[in-house]
Amino acid sequence: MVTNTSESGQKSLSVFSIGVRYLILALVAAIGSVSAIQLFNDGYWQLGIMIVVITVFLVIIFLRPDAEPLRWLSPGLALFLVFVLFPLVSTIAFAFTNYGTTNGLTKPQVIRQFEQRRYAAEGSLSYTYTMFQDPAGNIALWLVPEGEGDPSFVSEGQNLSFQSDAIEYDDNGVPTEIGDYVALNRADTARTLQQVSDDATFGEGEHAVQLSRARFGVAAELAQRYTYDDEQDALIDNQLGVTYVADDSVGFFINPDNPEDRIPVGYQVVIGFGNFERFLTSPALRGPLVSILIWNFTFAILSVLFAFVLGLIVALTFGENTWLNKMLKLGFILPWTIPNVITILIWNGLWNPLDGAYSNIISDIAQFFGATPGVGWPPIYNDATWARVALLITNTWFAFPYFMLICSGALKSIPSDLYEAAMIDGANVWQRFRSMTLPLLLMTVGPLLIGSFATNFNSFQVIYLFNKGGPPMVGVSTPAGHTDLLISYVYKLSFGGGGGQQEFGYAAAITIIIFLLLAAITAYNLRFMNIWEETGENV
Amino acid sequence: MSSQIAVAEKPKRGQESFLEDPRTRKALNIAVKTIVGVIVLTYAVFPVLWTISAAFNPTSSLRGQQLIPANPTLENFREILEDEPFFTWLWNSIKLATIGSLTGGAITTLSAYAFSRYRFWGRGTMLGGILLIQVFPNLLAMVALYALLLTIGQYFPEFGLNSHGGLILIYAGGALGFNVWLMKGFFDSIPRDLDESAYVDGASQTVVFFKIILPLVRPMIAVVMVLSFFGIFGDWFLPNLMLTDEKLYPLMLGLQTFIGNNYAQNWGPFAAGAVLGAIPQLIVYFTLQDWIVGGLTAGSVKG
Repeated sequence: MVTNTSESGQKSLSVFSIGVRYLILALVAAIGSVSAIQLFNDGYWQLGIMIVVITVFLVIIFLRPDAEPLRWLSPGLALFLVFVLFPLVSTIAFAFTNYGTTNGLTKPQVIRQFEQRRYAAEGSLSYTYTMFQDPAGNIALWLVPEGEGDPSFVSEGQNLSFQSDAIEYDDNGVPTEIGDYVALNRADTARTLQQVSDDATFGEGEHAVQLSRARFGVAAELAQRYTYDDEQDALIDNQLGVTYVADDSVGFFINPDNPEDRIPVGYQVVIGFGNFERFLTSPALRGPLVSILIWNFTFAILSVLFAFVLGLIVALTFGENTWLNKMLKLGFILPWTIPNVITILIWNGLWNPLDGAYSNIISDIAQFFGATPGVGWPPIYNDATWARVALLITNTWFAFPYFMLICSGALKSIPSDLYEAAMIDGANVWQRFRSMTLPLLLMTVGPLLIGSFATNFNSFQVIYLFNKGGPPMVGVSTPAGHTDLLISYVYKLSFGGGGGQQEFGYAAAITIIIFLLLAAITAYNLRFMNIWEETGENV
Repeated sequence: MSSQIAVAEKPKRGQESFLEDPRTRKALNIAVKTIVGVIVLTYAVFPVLWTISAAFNPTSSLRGQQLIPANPTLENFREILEDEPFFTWLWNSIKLATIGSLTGGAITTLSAYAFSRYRFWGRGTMLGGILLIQVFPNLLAMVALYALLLTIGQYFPEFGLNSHGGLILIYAGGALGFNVWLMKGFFDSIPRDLDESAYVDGASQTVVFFKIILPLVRPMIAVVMVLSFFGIFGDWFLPNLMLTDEKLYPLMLGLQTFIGNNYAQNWGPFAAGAVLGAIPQLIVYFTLQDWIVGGLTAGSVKG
C-alpha cells in the first residue's frame, strides 16, 4: 500500500518534471538557434558553430536517458567550452590571421559599415529647413523640398510623424509648434547649428539629409557612398568613382590601379604562417624575443629555486614542534596571506628610487663603503640587472612561505627510523640530507615545483605591476622590456603597452610558442605524477 | 653506498668529532637558528610592518617615514575611505568574488559528483583534458577572451566588456579545472554503499545528492570556495583588461590605479587601503592554513 502511493506520487512528479524538462529544452534550443543565426549573420561563424554545438549537445544529453552523467556536467562543460576551450582554440586560430587594430572586423561588418556611409552627391535633392528644438534640447527639422514635394519632419536618424491638420502654421506655411518641438528663429538656428556635427544625418533611408554648411537653411539629400558589388567582390566608391577590389590575402579593399590606395579599414583574413615568418625573418622582432625567452626561463627557474630553498631552510631549521617555532612560523607565513597585488604595490614603495626604504638602505650601504650615490640611486627601475634582482627578491618574498608549509608537512612524513638507521651506518648531517631527506622530499614536492615553475613562467601580474616589464629595451621595434616575460610581451603587443598598433595576430603567434613550451613541461610533469594511469584505473 | 660513506668518513674524522660534541652542537644549533630566524623574519615581516606604519604616518608621502611613526594618526584611513570610492571597490570585489566562487563552486561540485559516481564514455579523457588545459592559464588567451566579451557585448551588454557579468562568466568557466580533481577526490572518499543503501530505501538521485552526499563534503566545498573567493578577490589582470569604468573596479584594480606612480603623494592613504584590503584574506589564511595547504597539495601529491 505504502509503496503504491509513493510510486504513483513519483510518477505524477516525473510527468511534471518531464514537461518542465521539454519546456526548458525547447527554450534552450530556441535561444541557441536564434543567437547562432545572429552570429552567423554578423560573420562570427566560429562562435556561432560553438553555440550550435553546445545547443545540440544539451538537447541530446537531456533527451537520451543514458546520457545521465553528462547532465551533471552540462553547466560546467558549457561554460568551460565557451570561456576556456573556445578562447584557447581561437587564440591558436588568431595566430594565423592578420587580426589587429586595422583588421579588427569581419568582412561582412566592414561592408555593412561602408555601405552606411553617405555623401552629398551633386544634383541630389535639396531642401530648405526650419529648425525645431524640444525642451530636452533635441533638434528636429521641417523640410520643404526645393521644387515639388510634400514637407516632412525629421530628427537625427529618424522620421517623425505629425498630423498636418492639427498644427498651426505661420505666414510662410511653416509650423510654429509640433508636439514638444518649437520652431527656432534665424538667430537661434544659427547658434544651434554650431552644436550639430558635420556628418549628423537627419531622417532615415534614401531620403536622409545632411545640413549644408555652405548654404544656410539648406539641407541636401545624401547618396550611398559605397556600394558592394557581389560579382567583383568589390566596394565601389560612388563619390570618387573608384572600385576597391577585395584582396583576401591581406584583408583590404584595394584599388587595382594603385595598390597604395586602399580602404583604410581592413578585415580579418587567414594569412597562414605570416606571423611566424615575421619574427623568424625580422631581426628587430626576433632580437627581443630571444632575450625575453632567456629571461623568462631564468626568472621561472630562479623564482622556484629561491622560494623552495628558502622555504626548505626555514622548514629544516624550525621543524621541531616547539612554542617558539610556532610563533616564528606565524611571522614567516605572513607574506603568503597577503593578496599578491597588494604585495607588489607595497614592494614598489620599498624599492622606490627616491624615498623607498630599501633603496635608502642600499644607498646608505654604498655610502658606508665610500661611494657617493646620486639622487635616484640605486636605479631599480631603470637598470636591467637592478630591476631583475629586485624582482626576484620581491617574488621570493611571497612564494617561500608556501614551500615552507609544504616542506614541513613533507619532512614530517619521512619515517624517523630511516634517520636512525643512517646514523648507525655513520652518515653525517650533510650525507643524511643529501641522500635521504632531499630525494624523499623531492618525491612529494617535485610535482609542485614543476607546477610552480609553470605558474612563474606566466607570472604576468607580478611582472606588469612591478615595472610594466621595463626598463625598455633599446633599439627594438616593439615595446619590449628587460624584465618582460613572454606573457607580458604578448600583452603589450596585444593591448599596446606603449601605445601604437594592437597586433593580436602576432601576439597570438607568440602565445603558441608559450603553449608549446608549457605543453612540453606539462607532458613531463604528468609523467612524473603518473596521472594518466590514475585516470585509467577509474580510481 | 656503505663503502662510499666509509671512504668519505676518513678525511672528515676531526670535524665529525667536533660536531658530535653535544655542547658545540647545541651552541652551533642555536647560533644557526638565531641567524636564520632573524634574517628570514626581518625579510618576511618588515614590509608588512612598514606598510602598517605608513598607514598611521601623518605625512602621506614616502619621505621621512619611520618604522614607529612619531604622531600616529588615522588621517590616511579617513582619506582613503572618504575621498576615494574605497567602499565601491570593496563592494565590487565582494560581489565578483561571491558570485564567481558560488557559481564556480556549484559547477565544480556537480561535475565532480558525476566524475566520481558515474562511469561513462570519455570520462578519463575529460578528466585528463581538464587538467591539461588547466596548465594554460586563461591569461594566455587574453586576446580571445577580450574578443569574446566584445562579441557577446554586442548582443548582451551586461555580459560584455566593461561589465561584471562577463568577468563572472570567465571566472566560473575557469573554475572547472584543478578543483574538479580536488572535489572528485573528496567524493571518492565517501563510500558508495551509502548512496546505494539510500537508493534501496527509495530515495531519488536528487535526494541522494542533496541530502546524503552534499552534507558530507560541505567542509571541502567550503574550502574550495574560500580559495576561489580569494583567487577572484586578488585578481587584477582580468578586471584591468575588461573594465574601463572606474565605478566597476574591484579593490585590487582600484588600489593599483590609486597609487599608480604617485608614491610620493598617495603612499599613506594607499598603505591604509592596503592594510584594510589585506585583512580579510590574512585572517582566513591564518585560520585555515592547514586546510588550504592540504587542499593545494592533495591533488598533485596523490598517487
